[in-house]
Amino acid sequence: MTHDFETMEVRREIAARPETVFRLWTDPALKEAWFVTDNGPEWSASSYEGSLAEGGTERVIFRHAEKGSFTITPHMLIAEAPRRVIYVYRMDHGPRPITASVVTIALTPRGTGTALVLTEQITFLDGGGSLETRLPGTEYVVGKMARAAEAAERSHIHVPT
Amino acid sequence: MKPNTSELSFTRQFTLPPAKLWYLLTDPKMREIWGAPSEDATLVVEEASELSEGGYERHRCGPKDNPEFVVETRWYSLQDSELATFTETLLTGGHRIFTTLVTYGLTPVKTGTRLDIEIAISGFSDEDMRADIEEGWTAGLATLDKLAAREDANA
Repeated sequence: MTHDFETMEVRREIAARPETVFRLWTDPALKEAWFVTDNGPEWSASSYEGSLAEGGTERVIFRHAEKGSFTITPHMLIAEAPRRVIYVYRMDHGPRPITASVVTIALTPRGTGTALVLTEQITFLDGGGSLETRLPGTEYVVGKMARAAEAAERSHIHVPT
Repeated sequence: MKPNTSELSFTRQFTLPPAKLWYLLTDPKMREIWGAPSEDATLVVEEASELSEGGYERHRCGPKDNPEFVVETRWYSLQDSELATFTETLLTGGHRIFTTLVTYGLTPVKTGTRLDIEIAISGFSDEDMRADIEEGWTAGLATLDKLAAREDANA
């Protein structure tokens, strides 16, 4: 059994207020709308459930046409509106745990928008991939969230705070 | 604001075989013995499920006359006598202070077992707690070393 420990960081300037970005990470209905969709034709989300209040747990299962199922189970530790989100999660490939992570998201007002810094500290378990394979996926997720937040503000969709 | 994250790592050698060291590291009652951060502090198990992936424990710790801190432990991965990954979240007065993602790697060596520990820290405020966490782990591992030596002598 081997393991590797790594830290990755994703930065993104988002043309949406921190309150909007915060809600997209912490409101289950809003998060489901951007998180489980638009992952490419080979991916499908088979289930999404949970609570993202502090102390709550979320469970998402993604299915890949060739690679099988991936399950993530985030446990929310801190949801401090509108500037900080911290959660821990494990990712399983089929029945096998492949990574465990702490994710820290910091939101800072920048003009009329938000500067987001996502730091993920990861233990890669045996065969669980590497930073090189994981970072593009995280950047893609942050990009999806940013586009959803910007679309919400452009459309003047009311995101309750 | 910036994320308040940092990392620590430790390596220690023990004369115990991996299975015996694993027991000291993962049994809640054993962790009560070595896990307190100083001789003036105490660590008491308040709740512990069976050791398993997804398992949960809650300890209370702090000065013996006022153990004001609660530590919530969640086990994420357990490979018997080889690898353990878990998180510990510290609370006081109902408020979360920080969380750590901890990985134990146990490797058999000629003289016993090498233990590699990696700790990822995420603070829930802007206060830097790395030095305090490092001090606590250093003291705990010194106590673990003594406990392991006693276990080895009694074997």
